[in-house]
Amino acid sequence: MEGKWDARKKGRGMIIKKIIAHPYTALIGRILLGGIFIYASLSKILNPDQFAQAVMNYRIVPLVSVNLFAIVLPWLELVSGIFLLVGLFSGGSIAMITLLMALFLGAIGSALLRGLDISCGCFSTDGVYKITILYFIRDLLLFALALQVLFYDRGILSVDTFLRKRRAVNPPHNLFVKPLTPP
Amino acid sequence: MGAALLPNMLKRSVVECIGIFLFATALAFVTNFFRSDGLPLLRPKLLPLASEDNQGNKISLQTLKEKFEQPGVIILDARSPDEFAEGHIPGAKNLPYYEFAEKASVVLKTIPFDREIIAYCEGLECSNAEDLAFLLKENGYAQVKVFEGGWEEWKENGMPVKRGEG
Repeated sequence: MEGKWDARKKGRGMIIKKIIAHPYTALIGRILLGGIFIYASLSKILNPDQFAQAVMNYRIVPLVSVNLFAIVLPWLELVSGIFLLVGLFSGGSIAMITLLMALFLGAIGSALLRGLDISCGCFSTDGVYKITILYFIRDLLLFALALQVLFYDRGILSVDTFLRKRRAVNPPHNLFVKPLTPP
Repeated sequence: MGAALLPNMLKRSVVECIGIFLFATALAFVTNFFRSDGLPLLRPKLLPLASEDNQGNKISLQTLKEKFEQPGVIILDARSPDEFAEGHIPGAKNLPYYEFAEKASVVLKTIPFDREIIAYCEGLECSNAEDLAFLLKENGYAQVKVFEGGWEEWKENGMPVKRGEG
């Protein structure tokens, strides 16, 4: 009896492991993360001064360089979000998104620890939504999703795979090598 | 095969990651340069932060009593518009800390940078007035002070009260 129970438990564990490591889970993760990053970048790109204000409120980035940070970060989100969604430079874009998620987690965590009463500045820069532990948990889940994609993405429905297949069929000509001419 | 492939994939990811960073940074600076509401790349030289010289910045009810009749002194209410409408120090302008980004340009437009500003919020427990003072200093106001007792102390001491959007 005991052995059977263990086996069933083990079987369930295997299923969960399979789901976590499944390439389709990575595909869903890519679409979700890509979409979220694109969406999050838009309001920041549209309202740079408000986003700079939100960055300043965290009091992490040195004040002189707040603007540099606020100018670059939304575009980093947008570019890596688009690349991840379509699956172009997937390895690089998911690495970038994982790094950004780690950065956001650190920022929110430290803001909570310091008891800062500030708005998140994560999605909407309108300053209404105050930061809470829920933001940290949400980002933790997104970070886990990013790690899943980082490790298990097999490039389903991605431009990368499409290009690789096409290259395999028609190898590119090397322009700098003289074609062999018959003697 | 897998073991030999891994370093290659890793190298490729790192190169792509750096490429994405450079590409996004270039896009960001080009757009920022051409758009009308682009930010200056570096923030202008800052005045000492409110948190560093807090002690000298705080004023008591007694000081505020003397100052609030003076014409040149600006009093800013850092609480929400609703709280402001329920009652505030007469002559105070409402600049909610949480709506600084939207309202600052309107409220501060007519206030010169060398004017003495006194910020207050609900009371001793709240930090919005201090945070507002910090932001004001960031934005170039040299003489920003905080009335620590806030609205509670003002009201409890039977000082004049004004209601409405003011």
